Amino acid sequence: MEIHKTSWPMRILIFVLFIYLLAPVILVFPLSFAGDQVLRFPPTSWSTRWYTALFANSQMLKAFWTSLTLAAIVTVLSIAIAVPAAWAVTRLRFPGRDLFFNVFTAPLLLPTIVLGLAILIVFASFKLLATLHGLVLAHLIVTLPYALRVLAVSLSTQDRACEEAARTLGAKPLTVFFRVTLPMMTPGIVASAALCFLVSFDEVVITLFLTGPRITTLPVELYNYVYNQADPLVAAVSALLILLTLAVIMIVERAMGLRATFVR
Amino acid sequence: MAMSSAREEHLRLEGVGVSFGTVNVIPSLDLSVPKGEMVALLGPSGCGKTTTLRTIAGLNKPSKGKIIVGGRDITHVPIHERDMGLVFQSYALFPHMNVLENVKFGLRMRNVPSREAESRARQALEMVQLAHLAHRKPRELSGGQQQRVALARALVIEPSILLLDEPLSNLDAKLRDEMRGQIRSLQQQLGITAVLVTHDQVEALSMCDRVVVMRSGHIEQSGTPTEVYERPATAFVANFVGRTNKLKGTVAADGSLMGLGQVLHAASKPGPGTVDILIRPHRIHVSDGDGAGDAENRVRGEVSNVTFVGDLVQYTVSVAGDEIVVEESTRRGQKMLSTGETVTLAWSAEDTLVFPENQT
Amino acid sequence: MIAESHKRELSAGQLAVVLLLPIALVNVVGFILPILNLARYSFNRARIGGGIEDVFTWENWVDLVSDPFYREILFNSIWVSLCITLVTLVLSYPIALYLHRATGPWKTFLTVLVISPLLTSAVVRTYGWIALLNDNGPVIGIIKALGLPSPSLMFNIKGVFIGLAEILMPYMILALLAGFGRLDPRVEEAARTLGATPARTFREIILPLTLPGIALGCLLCFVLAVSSFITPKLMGGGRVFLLATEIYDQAIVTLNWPRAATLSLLVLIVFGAALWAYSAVMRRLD
Repeated sequence: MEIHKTSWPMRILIFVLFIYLLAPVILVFPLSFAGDQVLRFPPTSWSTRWYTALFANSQMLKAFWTSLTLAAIVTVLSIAIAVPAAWAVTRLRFPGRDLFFNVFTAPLLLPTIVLGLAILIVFASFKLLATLHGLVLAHLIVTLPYALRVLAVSLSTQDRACEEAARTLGAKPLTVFFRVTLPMMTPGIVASAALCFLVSFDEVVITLFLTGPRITTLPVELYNYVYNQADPLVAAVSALLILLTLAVIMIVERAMGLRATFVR
Repeated sequence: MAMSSAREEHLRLEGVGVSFGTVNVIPSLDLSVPKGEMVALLGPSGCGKTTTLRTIAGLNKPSKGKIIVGGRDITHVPIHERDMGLVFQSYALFPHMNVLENVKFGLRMRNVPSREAESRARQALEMVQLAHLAHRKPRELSGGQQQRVALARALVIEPSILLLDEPLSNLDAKLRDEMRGQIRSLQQQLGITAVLVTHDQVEALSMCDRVVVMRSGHIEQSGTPTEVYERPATAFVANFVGRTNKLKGTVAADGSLMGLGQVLHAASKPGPGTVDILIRPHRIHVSDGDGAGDAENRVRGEVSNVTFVGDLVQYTVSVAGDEIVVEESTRRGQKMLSTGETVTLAWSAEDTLVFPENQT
Repeated sequence: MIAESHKRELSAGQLAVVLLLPIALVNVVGFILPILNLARYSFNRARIGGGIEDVFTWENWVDLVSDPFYREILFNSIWVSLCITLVTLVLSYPIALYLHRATGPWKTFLTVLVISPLLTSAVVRTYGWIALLNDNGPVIGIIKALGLPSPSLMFNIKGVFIGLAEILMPYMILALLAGFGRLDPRVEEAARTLGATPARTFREIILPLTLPGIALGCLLCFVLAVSSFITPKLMGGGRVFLLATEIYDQAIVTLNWPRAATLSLLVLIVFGAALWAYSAVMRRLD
């Protein structure tokens, strides 16, 4: 539009702001190829030593597998739990419906530091600390609200007429759900699965309270590593993690459109 | 009808071209609007009429050509200095200001002292009979009321040119009729030059001094309502401005016109070849007799359908394999014809519009 | 032809219970009970060496209010968060506006660019800032190359400020975009045709109409800043004391769970106050 032609000073400003926004994420890539022992940029030499070191670091690798497994389990469970819940909240009328929806999405609003402490205290008495099922439960608390929101949006923007048409053509309610509603929800399910996976995979604060030497996730392992020595190994891990995230985002974009998922 | 030749030219577009990216929406447009006249840009959606209007307002930049207002080249003048009043199709009232503040806005931008702005704004609201709603917010008003506020807001600044982008399309039919009259009388009262964009030929014909029919970024015809209706320059114009029956025919080497299996008479014909013959439904008289009278064209056919539409009755008559629609006003005591009846259709040579084939 | 099923049809309420049971269970066990428990703990007393005495006492709260160390932490946390929120707003607004007006694949590309940092772990993003701001990093390097005195940006509040402001930008941008979404472009055009310069259009039309988005963004960023843990902890090097770092230290290092619980509730109270302020602003705006 003519009225929105951006002037050159404005373009430069926005460019600078984008650099600020993306600087840390961009920096880790060249940094991961540094040849130095300590964190330094620009590096004095270049090498792939840190990638080699990464794949030789059994603790990191073990933590990575734990994170991956955990995220996979959490994702599957989140979808399995959130789909019926989202359906109930958007398709059924019952007293307190809105209240339930708000309560179930409330964990999103709570600071993870508070949640982490609260869960730590409860898990301690139930002997759930440093266990995989404890971590699954803890992660579910934070992924379920995301899944519920995305799926509820997906369901409420669907054209109900298709379901109604199926009913008039003789399909029983359960059949309608599996043959019509669920397939139509596929983009929403893919989007929320990707989201749950990333949220669980990246979760660090709550997990920090609940892990120990017996079991640890990649973000926690990274945290401890950075806390103690902060060398370019972390850059190598970070670079790979960012690429993983981007890959998942591409999937979401293809499935449902990024803007639709986040900007309402 | 105004003597347009006596008025000086106020707005002129010279070779104006508009492109969006690689799409050349308007190749080259020439338009001239005399002072104090209201001109309609009429055409189907996508013909470029709104683009033209927005280009005049400065909301689009022309890729070539000049826009001249009152002798001054304003092609490169920024939007906020063009001194035009634009009434948007969606009204675009400022939701966070009340009606009075909306109307005062343009005056504030011109640094009119606040007491004067207040009184002028109130006057403008009185002109559209909305003074009593001055302190309401736009969302509290009906569509028709919002439209009048938008009009008042555009007029209060006493712009040199008033631009209206399909101002009536969001109103219901009754309100539309009312507002047509109001807008036209306001425009004439203030003597302000105006350009109205519409796809509704009733609006164009009833409100404006001149109608410019547009199609695919070109002007098909520019003339008074009567000219455009009675003497359309192309089949497209004939078809768009009013309903028509379309028949295939031929003009022979000797200039005679053949259609419906017989010789037909037309006031003007193009050169030899296949042609489209257009006749307006209500210019055809249908009767169950011979059809006495001095109409030059007379054909016989059989009524295949009768539709009663309240004000009118539509007869579909089969003639020589073609279906012709005839419209007559309903009159008390006048017997309606019935299907199967053999009838005579009669119409004058002047009402026979002939164009070379495939101009629509 | 289609007979009604003989199965007893569940009422909407009963069906809802069945479908919502799993999520309700997770919520109660993992969220509601723990938070309520937290409240209980803040009124208990810690036993030396871990564990709690099951007494009801106000002493945690009294300590909080009377101990200048905690008063300072609370004040710092709130003050720093407010400042960061303001800075983030100013930095995010131009990007959000530009993004809002962009179209087509360029817009999608930019949106992905803005959103993707959100989906990377806080540790990765904080590490990025450590790499940027440490004494051997590019920022100090450029400052030195320009001949200016090099400030210390690590292990103090300055680095935390710079890092946190950037980390919160995507949240602010998204909130602003949601607000811009409600801005009708025709209204901007109307203002321009009525004689408003681009600057005046911004001041009188765009800014007031995007205030709800601004309010939401500020709430979001303030709340995230006040409870931020990873960035202050990693970049502060144990020398930056904010509410979140203190909660962690009390819980894991000192093992004084009641005190940690009290601090957590304090965070929730600050939260509540921010929410209240936000709704007050939103009511004014209507």
